[in-house]
Amino acid sequence: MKLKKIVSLLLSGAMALSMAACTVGGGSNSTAPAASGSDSNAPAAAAPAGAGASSLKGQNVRVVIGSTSTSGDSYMIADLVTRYLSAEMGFNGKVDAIGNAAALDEIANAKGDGKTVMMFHDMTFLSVLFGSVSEDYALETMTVGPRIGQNPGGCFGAAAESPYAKLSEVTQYLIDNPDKTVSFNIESGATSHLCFAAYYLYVQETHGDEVAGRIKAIVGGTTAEKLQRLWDRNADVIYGDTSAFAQYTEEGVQDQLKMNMFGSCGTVNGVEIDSMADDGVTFNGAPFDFAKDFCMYFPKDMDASVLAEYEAAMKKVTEDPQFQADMAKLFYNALSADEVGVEASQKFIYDKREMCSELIERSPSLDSLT
Amino acid sequence: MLPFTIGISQILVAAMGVVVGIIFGAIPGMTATMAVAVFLPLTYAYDLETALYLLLGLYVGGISGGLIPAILINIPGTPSSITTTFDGYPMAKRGAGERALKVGIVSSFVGGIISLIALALFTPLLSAAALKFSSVEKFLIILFALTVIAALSKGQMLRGIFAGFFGVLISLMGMFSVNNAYRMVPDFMRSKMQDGFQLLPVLIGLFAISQIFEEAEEGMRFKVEKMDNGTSSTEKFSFADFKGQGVNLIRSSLIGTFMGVLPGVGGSAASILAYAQAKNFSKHPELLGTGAAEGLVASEASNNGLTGGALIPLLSLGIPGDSTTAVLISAFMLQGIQVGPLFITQNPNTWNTILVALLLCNIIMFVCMFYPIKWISKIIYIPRQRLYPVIIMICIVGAYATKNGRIFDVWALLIFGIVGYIFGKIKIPASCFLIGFILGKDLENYFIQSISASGGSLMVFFSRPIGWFIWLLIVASVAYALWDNAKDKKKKAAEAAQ
Amino acid sequence: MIQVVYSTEHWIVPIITMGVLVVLLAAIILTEGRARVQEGKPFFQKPGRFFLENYDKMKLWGTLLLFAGYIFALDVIGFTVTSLIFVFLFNVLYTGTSKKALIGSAVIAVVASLLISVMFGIVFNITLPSGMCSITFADFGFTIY
Repeated sequence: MKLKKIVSLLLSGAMALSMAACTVGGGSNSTAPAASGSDSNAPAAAAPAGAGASSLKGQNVRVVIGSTSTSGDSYMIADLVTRYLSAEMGFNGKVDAIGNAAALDEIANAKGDGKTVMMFHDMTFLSVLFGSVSEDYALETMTVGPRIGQNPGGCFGAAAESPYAKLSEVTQYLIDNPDKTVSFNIESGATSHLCFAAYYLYVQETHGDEVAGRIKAIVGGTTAEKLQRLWDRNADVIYGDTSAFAQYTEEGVQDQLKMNMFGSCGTVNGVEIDSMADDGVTFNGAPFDFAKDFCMYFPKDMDASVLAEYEAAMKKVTEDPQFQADMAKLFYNALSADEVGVEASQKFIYDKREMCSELIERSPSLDSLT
Repeated sequence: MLPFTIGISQILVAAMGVVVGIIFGAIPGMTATMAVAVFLPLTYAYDLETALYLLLGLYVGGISGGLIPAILINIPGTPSSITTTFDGYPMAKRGAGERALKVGIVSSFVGGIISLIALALFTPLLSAAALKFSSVEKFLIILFALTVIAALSKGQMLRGIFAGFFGVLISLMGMFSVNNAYRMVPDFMRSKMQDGFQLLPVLIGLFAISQIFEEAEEGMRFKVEKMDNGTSSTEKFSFADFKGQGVNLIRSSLIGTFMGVLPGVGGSAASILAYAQAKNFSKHPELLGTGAAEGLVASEASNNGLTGGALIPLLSLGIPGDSTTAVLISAFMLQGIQVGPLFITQNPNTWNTILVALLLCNIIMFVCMFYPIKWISKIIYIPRQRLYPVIIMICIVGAYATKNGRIFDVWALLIFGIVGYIFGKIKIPASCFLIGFILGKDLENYFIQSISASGGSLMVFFSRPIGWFIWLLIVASVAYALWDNAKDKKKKAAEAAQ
Repeated sequence: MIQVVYSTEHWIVPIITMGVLVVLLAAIILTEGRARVQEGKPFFQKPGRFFLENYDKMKLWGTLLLFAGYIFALDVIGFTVTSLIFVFLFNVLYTGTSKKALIGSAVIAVVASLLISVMFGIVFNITLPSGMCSITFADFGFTIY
């Protein structure tokens, strides 16, 4: 009995404190605007009921993402979109970072009432194409919903002292130095794998097997681990996000850490960087770009009227200048209302899977590149 | 104009953070990392400085709170308080719960302050040192931490080592993150076991649930020997408990801090290492594990030593020192600030604020824990029949929340409860299994990274001077454990002969 | 020298570990067997009794069954109601069915499950298992799982 007394004492204390903190610190759970000088006017974390209206009003909505990290782009975008949708549709959205297979499993088994949503990027279908999850989780087993945004920031990075600051210069370096290799630290089955494969195929096509054969892969690792490989000079080029790399490109960074970044997979607003397409990389004759596209995914038997509500809400959100500003702050791209529409979104996602499938089929086995 | 930010609202927010953090830390299955992640969305509405007060409060509170259940009911509240149970619970069982808690809290506070000093004064130095540690050195450090198994399993060393390697093997189940290939998982379990078994359900299953099974088997008759409510003079806390512990306290805090500084070496390795060193250097190593304040000091000083340490690589290199600081990155990102090599010079006010906030949170933690602990320590007198049902429920919540809501993790909790119960029956030390399980994934990761870089040659592990030094420690540690074991055996044989 | 091949590298460490385990197991059997022989006992020993003598069958198997039932019911019924039922049943299992014990069990069950449910599900906004007995108060915007 004592335990409960203590717990309840602690709880009431915590609640009293949190209330005090809310009034002083800036109204985290209340509708009051942030008082303590916050520059963000984003809707509060737990959207107040009654702000928006939809059939999900007042309900808890679980947003699962295919990553287990709460600091990556998946979490950031899903959380931002969820906050705006919560306000727009009046539900309590909560992002749960449960991981790739777990999220797919969740959507496969959830009811199509709109209370469970997956927001995730291209890994949704890439993990099936690469075989890291089974065919039972293919796109056909779920309902592709509205797209929500784009992260064009994936890019390559190399030590500042290295003789290349562009992918085309890497190629030139390999041509000029027939005894040298260049190692790329990428992740298997991810965007970086595909961008690397595209570059490799492009070099193979334009300069032949000999030059391409000296492009090596080092597989695996988080961004932190890849950075350390670069600093140890155990990898020549690493793949990561512009937002993570930008700080190491600035003046004043010590030599061991200083780096250049190049070959992003799309145009990044507010960052000076050449995309792979700008640098001349092509795939199937077309300039290659590969921004990570984030999209909502629902269960197969999704209620059509709820899906339409999500579509309408997302269209509104994506045109909200505040939302666009918040996305830009994180270097992500907001989409147009037309791109967000369910039909356009489905065509886009299926087309992208088609392209990826071809790229994967043609890309060399990592066994021969490591 | 102060060179940092502080105000009433910040102090209140920090206090709330510490209190909530302590609750998270004290609840089996909930950790500081989870507390920070749960409260992250709340910080959207705050400015960066206020957010930092809240999050650092949660961090310090969450790391500290773990000692309460570890000492009182033998259940580590967080992975880094496993070694706290080794000496804390025996103390509580003999009626010295309050004293054990106070020793733990004071050690936590000292560990926190020492790591704060390291953060404030030696950040450039320590981050430069961290850069010298490649995957080879990290592999060796983890190997070194594993040698604690030999020290822990005195009297049945082979079984202890077996349990440790078995733990390593079980931790490898699931998908290997480098080539995305599954091992040791049946096809139909793949979607559930992509990342294998999670640490928290395994931990609380082995420690808490198996204990409940054992006591159920005995008919729930467990009672603490009541030592006239801790008034007996030998078992009352006084600062004299720290006499002769100065070196231990500082060494353990520094081990914790340095483990924090090394990115990618988990926080629980810190307390394991510190505990092993306390045992190796102790004048009475045989007392460790039977309720010696020495072991408690080592464990708690090191896990709070982690806090300041883990912030060092985050703020000076931009890479997090542990899982909690990894979540902190988001808090900075949300405010549009990148942490990296230029962070301290470009944001002097924020940097100073972090130092002040960490100091404040440590002080609040001390006050919030040291004074009310008298009442909290009475938990141990609640009849187990009444306490366990509630603990089961709380463990289920904790397991379910491990990966943000998966029922599979709750099943894992039950499975490892049964496994722990069986281990007890067939005399396999669960603590050794757990240490293997905790360190297994990192061990593999750094082993593969090292030999991939060397083209498969194992000589890479002997190629660098820092590595030699760690090898020396490994050999010394194993040799000491063997010698100690043999001495113990001889003594027993001599006793038996008499 | 270990050949690192990308597509099979996930087996390197598990296989080494399994090898070490086999060696250790052999060593354990040998040394413990030899120790028994030295004491004049046979090399192999019949395994001793697994459960305690006169162990509390009801409480041990009851705990196991209730635990499994608890997990099964969680995402069918929902966290709060399931916890209420099972915390009560665990209490009854451990403290018996006298009137006084039953009242205590009921009070603990109700207070503890509601407290935890509100604290984590609502105050801390942590996802808890939901099921058919989860109630949403749409007008107030919160759900009791």
